[in-house]
Amino acid sequence: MEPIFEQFVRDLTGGFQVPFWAPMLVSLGLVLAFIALNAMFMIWLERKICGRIQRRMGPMLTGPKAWARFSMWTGGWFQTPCDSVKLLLKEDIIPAQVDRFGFMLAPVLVFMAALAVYVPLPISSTSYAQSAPIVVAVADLDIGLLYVVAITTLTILAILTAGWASNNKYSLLGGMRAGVQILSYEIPMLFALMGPMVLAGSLSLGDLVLVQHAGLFGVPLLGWFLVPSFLGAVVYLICAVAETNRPPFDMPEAEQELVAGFSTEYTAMRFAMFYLAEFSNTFVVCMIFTAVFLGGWTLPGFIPPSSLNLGFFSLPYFDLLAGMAIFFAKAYAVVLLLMWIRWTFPRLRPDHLMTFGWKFLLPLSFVNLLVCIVLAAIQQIYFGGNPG
Amino acid sequence: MMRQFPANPDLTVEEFELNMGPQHPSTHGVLRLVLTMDGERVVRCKPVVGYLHRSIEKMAENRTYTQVIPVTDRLDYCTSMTSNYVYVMAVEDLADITVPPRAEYIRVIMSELNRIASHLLWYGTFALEVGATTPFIYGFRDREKVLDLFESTCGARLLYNYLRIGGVSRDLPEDFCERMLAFLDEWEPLIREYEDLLDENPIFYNRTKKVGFLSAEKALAYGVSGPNLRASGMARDVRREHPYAVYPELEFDVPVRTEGDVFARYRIRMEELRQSARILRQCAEKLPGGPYLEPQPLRMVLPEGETYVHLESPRGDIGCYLVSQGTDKPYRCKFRTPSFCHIAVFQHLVRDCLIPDIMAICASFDVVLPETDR
Amino acid sequence: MSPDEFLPILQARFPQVEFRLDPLNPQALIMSASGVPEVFGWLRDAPEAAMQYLEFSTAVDSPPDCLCVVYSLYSYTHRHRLALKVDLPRHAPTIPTLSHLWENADWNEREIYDLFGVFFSGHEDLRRLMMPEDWEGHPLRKDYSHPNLTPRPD
Repeated sequence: MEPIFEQFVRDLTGGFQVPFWAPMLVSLGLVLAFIALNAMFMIWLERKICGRIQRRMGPMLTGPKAWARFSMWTGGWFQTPCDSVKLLLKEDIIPAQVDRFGFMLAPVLVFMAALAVYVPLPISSTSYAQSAPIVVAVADLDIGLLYVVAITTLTILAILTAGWASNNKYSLLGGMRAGVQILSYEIPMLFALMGPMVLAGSLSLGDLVLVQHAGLFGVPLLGWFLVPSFLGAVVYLICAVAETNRPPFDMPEAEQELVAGFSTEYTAMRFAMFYLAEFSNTFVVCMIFTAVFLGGWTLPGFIPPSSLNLGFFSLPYFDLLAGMAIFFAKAYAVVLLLMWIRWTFPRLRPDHLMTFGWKFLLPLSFVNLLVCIVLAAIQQIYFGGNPG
Repeated sequence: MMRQFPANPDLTVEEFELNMGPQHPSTHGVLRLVLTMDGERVVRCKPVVGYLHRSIEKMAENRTYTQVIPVTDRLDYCTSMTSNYVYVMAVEDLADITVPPRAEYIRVIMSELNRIASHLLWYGTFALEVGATTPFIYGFRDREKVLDLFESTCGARLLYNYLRIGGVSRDLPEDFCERMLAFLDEWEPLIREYEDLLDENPIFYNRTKKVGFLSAEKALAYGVSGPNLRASGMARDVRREHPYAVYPELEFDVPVRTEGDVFARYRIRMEELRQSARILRQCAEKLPGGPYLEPQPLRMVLPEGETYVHLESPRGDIGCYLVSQGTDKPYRCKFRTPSFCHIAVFQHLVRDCLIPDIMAICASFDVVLPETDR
Repeated sequence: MSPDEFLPILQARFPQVEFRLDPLNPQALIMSASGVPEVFGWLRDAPEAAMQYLEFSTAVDSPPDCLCVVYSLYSYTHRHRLALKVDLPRHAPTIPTLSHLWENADWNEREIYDLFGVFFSGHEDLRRLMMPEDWEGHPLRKDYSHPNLTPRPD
């Protein structure tokens, strides 16, 4: 992201050289702003989808009344900002008997993990004023896939800490369940992601997208790893739902059984941290799915020009904006799928969850890996290898 | 009870006690379950009731016979008509009062509508316990239509106080039957929608099949009745065995299943929804004209005697044992309620199962605490 | 079988126990407390009675002398019902438990103990059910009084 930012500032100010720490701070700011805004939008979307599935309208009373009269989708736009303000203004209660350090550390850890995982996620690529197309991410790490999987395990630590420190049997049960669930579903997820890794020959998320754009066996339409690694995509999606503690895998937070699971004792901003991190993780998981299986910011056969000539005025960074639009459209489509699943299915019991993860998804992900290895070999031998 | 962990003798494992309730988002009412847990598994379960004890039976002894009727409303608030009905039937039995035929039909219509409302509430809360949130809204939305029908008749949505000794307190509105038939026409196909949401879902199957098995012998020993007993293989429905009101003239089936698990109880209640609709259509057709009340003196004095009557509430077999000593107030009025026995069964059923199973089992029994605690 | 058909069979089988028809309740028989476990055991197990179902049990307080415990039994095989009433002295009401015969009796007897003060000998866990553990007095007795209880205006 540094070259793009530096070039952008140079263009804007006529040659000002930014200090080395500026791109980092700017990325941090952008990511934080994105998390906040995205959470607001996603929560509103979730409640509207929930309403639609349940034959009702969802939040309608906040926001301009005139807009709400059109349809259910134009009402209640200010609901989430109002809820956020309410959460911020609530009293922060720390029960007397909790383990204070752990209690205060857990939301921080959870948010840290949620924030750090945004680093290698590529949302676009641009070749405006650059010598070669550069992937737009905070930092397109060479080990991007590995980094992402590693950071998501930090949530286990955070949830276990929250469950233990709360000094409450329900929280403890919730924390234990969450730990066991996330751990068990990490492994099929890893193997499911290995399929695309083998097909692309690289762990970098940017490379994965570029290989998908190039196509499989020379056919761009088959390029999206959803096709050769279909089982892997399904396994990854299921594991992703389990990782983020979303229904039908919301055992740790099952309201009907454990009140609120590991976050029972948390109030106000600390609770908001957990909630925000959960929504952020949901979106991150959809972003990873888009990047790895759905071709990221590319459409087969379409390469947007780096600047769009509109006659009197030329729009720079057009390929960046177009790529972002495509990427977010795909990511939100996956988000809609996840929401649909959430409001339709009942909850899995812990032992069924474990059986399903270990005895069904894991062998499936192995089969997927084999299939991908075979396809990659065919690609290598007959079609001259992959550009990775 | 502490024991050493076999692999590492420095670690000890002990059971812990978890209190589920009385304030808990999911126990159906103010029920407290004291669970002894070994990790996630329940070793022992002791239900504690009495949080909702309002001494209804003592109140009944200090009120005249008509004044007791609103008190019986609060006995099982989900099926307030049935609670009224059992008490009123006991008084009529003791005083030898014949109820006009129109009133009998109206009572049956109200009981069956109440059965539909109660089962829809049960469906919503059962699905919610198992984790699916959408059926809750579906069930309640259609329940609102039934409550609208009730409101147009007696003015109340939940606690009706509609039945009187000798009939009902007011006649049905003129367009009641058309509206009821319109509701049934619109709603009966929706039962298929409710089933689609849950049936044939592997997650739901795993949660409910072979979970909470109750054998017929244990069910009888514990005094289980109603759909829970029919799910364990015993075909007993008070409307068939000891018919009351106009049930002998009505045709309906009594669904029975032999598996005795949570899924069987769920299926039976869904079938009962259809049967109730069938009964309602027949009643709407056969509803006679005439008086809706055989007026009684305000302060009735009943002859000395005792009686026990019972009828089929959506939860099971609700009964009223009435003792009169020739005064204008009941001497002893005991209500035999189905949920009392069903909660006692939890001690036996909730054993060696996980917490989610407890929720599924408790929800499948359709207990309401006010009925238990009276 | 109706109660008058039960009466001669029971009188023949349990001569030491007194049985008579209840004038006020055509479905009931009044019996003495002495033979309670045997009579009920026979009623549950004998093929001609087969009362596998205890519908309810309760008590009726009749001051000054008598507290009557009522049991209602039902049979699925024969579809008949029998109610049995046992009169107990009010100052010391004790009766053997039936919880070993029907599990339903367990909680029913706890409730009767709680609200009437009848002691069920042999019951494993006889403690209060409805009222709080430390409550004093038995509320459904006719002579129960409590500072919070005010008489209704007539």
